[in-house]
Order: sequence, then C-alpha cells, then structure tokens
Amino acid sequence: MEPAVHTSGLGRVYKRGRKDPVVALDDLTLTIERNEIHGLLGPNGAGKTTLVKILSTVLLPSEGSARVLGHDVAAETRAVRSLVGLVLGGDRGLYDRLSARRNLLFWGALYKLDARTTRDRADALLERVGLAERADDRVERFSRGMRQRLHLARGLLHEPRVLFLDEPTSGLDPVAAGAFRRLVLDLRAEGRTFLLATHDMDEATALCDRVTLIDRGRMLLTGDTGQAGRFLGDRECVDFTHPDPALADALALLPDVTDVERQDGTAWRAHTPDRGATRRVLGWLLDRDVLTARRGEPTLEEVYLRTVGDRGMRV
Amino acid sequence: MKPLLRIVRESLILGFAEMGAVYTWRTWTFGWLMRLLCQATFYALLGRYVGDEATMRYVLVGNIVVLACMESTIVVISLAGERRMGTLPLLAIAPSGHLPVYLGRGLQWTVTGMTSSLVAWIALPPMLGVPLPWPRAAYAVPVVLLILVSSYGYGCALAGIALRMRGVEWLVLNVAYGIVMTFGGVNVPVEVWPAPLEYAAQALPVVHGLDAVRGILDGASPGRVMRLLGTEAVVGACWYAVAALSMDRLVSVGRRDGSLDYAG
Repeated sequence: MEPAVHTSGLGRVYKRGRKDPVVALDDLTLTIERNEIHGLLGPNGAGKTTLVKILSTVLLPSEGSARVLGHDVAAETRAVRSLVGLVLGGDRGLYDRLSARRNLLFWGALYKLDARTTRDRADALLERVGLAERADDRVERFSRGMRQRLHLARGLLHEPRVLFLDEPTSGLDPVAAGAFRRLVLDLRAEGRTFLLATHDMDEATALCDRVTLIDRGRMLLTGDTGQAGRFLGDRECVDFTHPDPALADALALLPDVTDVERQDGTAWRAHTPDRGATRRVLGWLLDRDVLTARRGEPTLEEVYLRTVGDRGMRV
Repeated sequence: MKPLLRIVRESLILGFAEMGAVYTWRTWTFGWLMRLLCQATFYALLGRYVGDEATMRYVLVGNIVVLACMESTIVVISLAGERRMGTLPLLAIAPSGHLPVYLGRGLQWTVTGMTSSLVAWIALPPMLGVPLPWPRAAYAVPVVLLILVSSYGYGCALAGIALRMRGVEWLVLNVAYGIVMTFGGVNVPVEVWPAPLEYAAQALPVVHGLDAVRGILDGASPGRVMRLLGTEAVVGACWYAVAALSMDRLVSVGRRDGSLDYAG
C-alpha cells in the first residue's frame, strides 16, 4: 500500500532576481505512513511551509518528486487536491465578512459538493469544532482560537484523507491549543493522516507519532517521537532533586557529566555522554544522600535546541 | 443547483457581504449613486456649455452608459483582495478550478453598475431637459447590460496586473476606467483622436456598445446596431479570454516561482 506521503530527493529553490537564489528545500526524502501524525519541526525559514505548499500543490518542486497517496503532486494535481486538506495558521485564509457557516458554504461550492451535502457537513463540522452556536456570526468577530477551528472545519469539508496543518496553534492560548490537539487526535482515530508543521515542541510531543526536524531545507533527523532522545546518539540524562546548588556545581565538574541545568526550583538535570556515565553519576548522587534520582532521555525540545540552537534569532 | 451557479451565488453573497463593509444601502444610494449622478450631470452641463443641446445629449448618454463600465471594473479591487486575505492559493487549488471563482469575485459590481446606469437613464434626461425617444430608448437597456458584461471582462483582465503587483489595484482601476472615459467615445467621438489611438480604442469595451446606444436613439438601421452589438460582444469575449489566460498564467507561474503566497 502506498504511504500517505512520500518525497524523494525533493528540492525547492527560490530565485530572487539578481540576488543569490534561496534553497528552501534540499534533497528531502521523507515517508509518512497512513494514519500517522507526523510532526515537521524546524525554526522559522527552515522549509516547513515550502514542503506543505509543495504537498498541497500550491508550489512546484525544483527537483525530486513528491507523492500523496500514490499521486504525483506535480503531474496529478487534480487527484491530489481532492485528497488533501490544507489548514493554515493565523488570521488569513478566511472571509471575515462572512459568517462561519457561509464560509463553509462558499468553500463547499468550490469543492464541488452539492448544496445538501455542503449544508449537512457544514452543520456537522461546526458542531464538532464547537462553533455551532456562533455559526451565523461574522468571522471578523471571532477570536484566534475560533478562527483556527474554522480553518480546520474548512480543511475537513471535502473529507480529505491527508491534512496538512501549517502552524495551526500559533498564537492560541493553552486551553484553545489543547482543544485543537484533542480534535486532531479524534480525527486521526477516523483514519486520517496529518502532517503538522510546527515549532511548538510540546505540541509535537503531545500529538505526533513521528517527527522530522529540518533546517535550512535539509532534513536533520527523523524518527519516533517517543524515542526523540536517541536522536542525540547515546546521550542520556539524570534527573534529580536537591536543595543545594553547590551539589549541582560539584556534579558539573565530573568527567562523566557534559552539563547540568536547573529544571525548576530544586529539580536538576545532568547530561551524560553514555549509559556507563549515567550509572556512575547515579551512584555518585546516591552516595551524597540524594533521595530522588532517575535516568532519563533528552526531551524533544532538548533535541531541537541542541540541533538547531546555534541559530538564535537568525532566519 | 449546477456547480457553476452555486459558485456564482456564493460569490455574489460574499461580494455583497464585503460591500457591506463599505456601504449600507443608504450610504450607497445617497453617497455613491448620487456621486455618479452628479458626475454624469456635470459632464452633460459641460457639454451644453461648450456646445449645444445635441452635444449635451451626446455627453449625457455617454456618461450614463459608462457608469456600467465604471462600477463593473471595480472587480480589480475585489480580486486583489484575495491576495491580501491569503485566500488566493486556496482558491487556486480548489477542485472547481480557479477560473469560475476568480471571474465571479466582483459580480456584485455588475449588479450595482446596472442599477446605477438604469437610475441615471431614467432620472437624468428628464431632469436635464434632454428628450429621449421613448419607448425606443428602452432598447438601450439590454445594450447597457452587454456593455456591463464586456466591461467586467476588461476589469477581470486588468485585475491580473493588480494580482501580480501588490498595492497597485487602485492605480490599475483608475487608469483602466480613465482610459475608457477618455478614449472610449464617452465625451468626444473616438474619431477625434489621432489614427493610432483611434484604432487602439476599438479594442476597448463600451466603444461599440455606446455607438449602438446612440444609434438606437438616433434611429439607425437595425443592421448597423446589430453589427455594433456583435463587435462589442467580440471585444468583451476577447477581454474574457485575456482574463482567463492571465489568471491561468498567474497560477501556473505562481506555482513555479512561489508567488502564490498565503501569507498575504
């Protein structure tokens, strides 16, 4: 069975007149299985949106190929467009002067759905995304979270099998973001596949089965979210609590420890290069009457920061 | 309902909703429509001042008919708004194809354009003491509709420029309308201009339809009127073809160079 998404040597270069061309994607080979939620991580300008644009047929690749459910995005645009839904983040992509329901009826006509089907699906989707009571209010009066839910409803209107979400929770408050994530998990349970472009590591950890980290258009790593720590090789860490910062300072001087960071109050995390070092650090801590210490793996956020952290605010 | 008709219907609803951001029916009637009537009156009176009653009628008829063009070309603004709202690429990848909705995005202006022109047609001649040969003058109404349709195609074609170059939509609209107003036989006959301009003006909407309207009022032969209407229809069809090609190219080039941006 064809995967939901497969790219092979995918590249995209933007020409900029007399300026040097910008390489937005470079030799990206990626497979997303059906019914998977795949996180596409990377800083601003990493190439996430470019990939989403190519997969949703808004943009053509400069080299390589991309297929969605077996259809080539460059050659079989019509087939791809009926199979995918594009959900944008932010304020754009909706008609502010129309009500939520009217927005969906407009897009239903463009998706060639008949009038009854569009009405039925619009009602069901508005109910599902929690906008039924505001269905006839103009979108210009909606909060960011409500707009985002309407974006999702619009993306689902033609019942696509693959959804591309481009930073869907950027700017949402934690409650709205949490509700949005629950909705995505529900939709996955119905058999849909998601590609989630984000730089929110909590979101990726909470939602994604697998993640791919890209930067400057190149894939840096890809794999299961639950085993994100392994992206950093044999790196491990030891989490412990102790009230005295002097102990952490002393620990940081050990050759088995690469660094120690304060997590929260009396909670600390010591990074170690391998499992043997972890064992020795745990012993060292127990010898000093530390009551709580456990072996851990770097979180996705740590992996992200260590992999692209040198970029700072540069894009 | 047929898919195309549903797109037209939804586009009209969207268009009038957007219009509602600028006008209420009162401000449209007593603000915009009054302004159009004053404009036509001003030029008509100028015609009488520099010429005679015949000149005044010539200018008044031209300025009433051109209102249909003036409003329908506002589609330039509506279409340019798609880029600002970030909906342009979403429309481009819609399974219905981009053309029906792109060409339907300013249909509300055809409704208001026809209304303005009709109101002016009924109100201004008696008010200014310009006699029209009724009921023959009523035959001009479907001709105005044809002019409206061809002008809308002209607006759609020029909207392609506004969609490519950000922030120029008002310039494009005013230049587009100004060209028709100046060279389209509205205030002075097309033959007044030097030969190259006169030939170029034949490609403008309004020119042949307006000639047909004046022909109807002057009792021209049906054959001549039909020829002029046919030419206006062909000119309009050509502008639609240009619009369709321009928008097809906008999308195909946008997919190649990345200019179909949903970030506005």
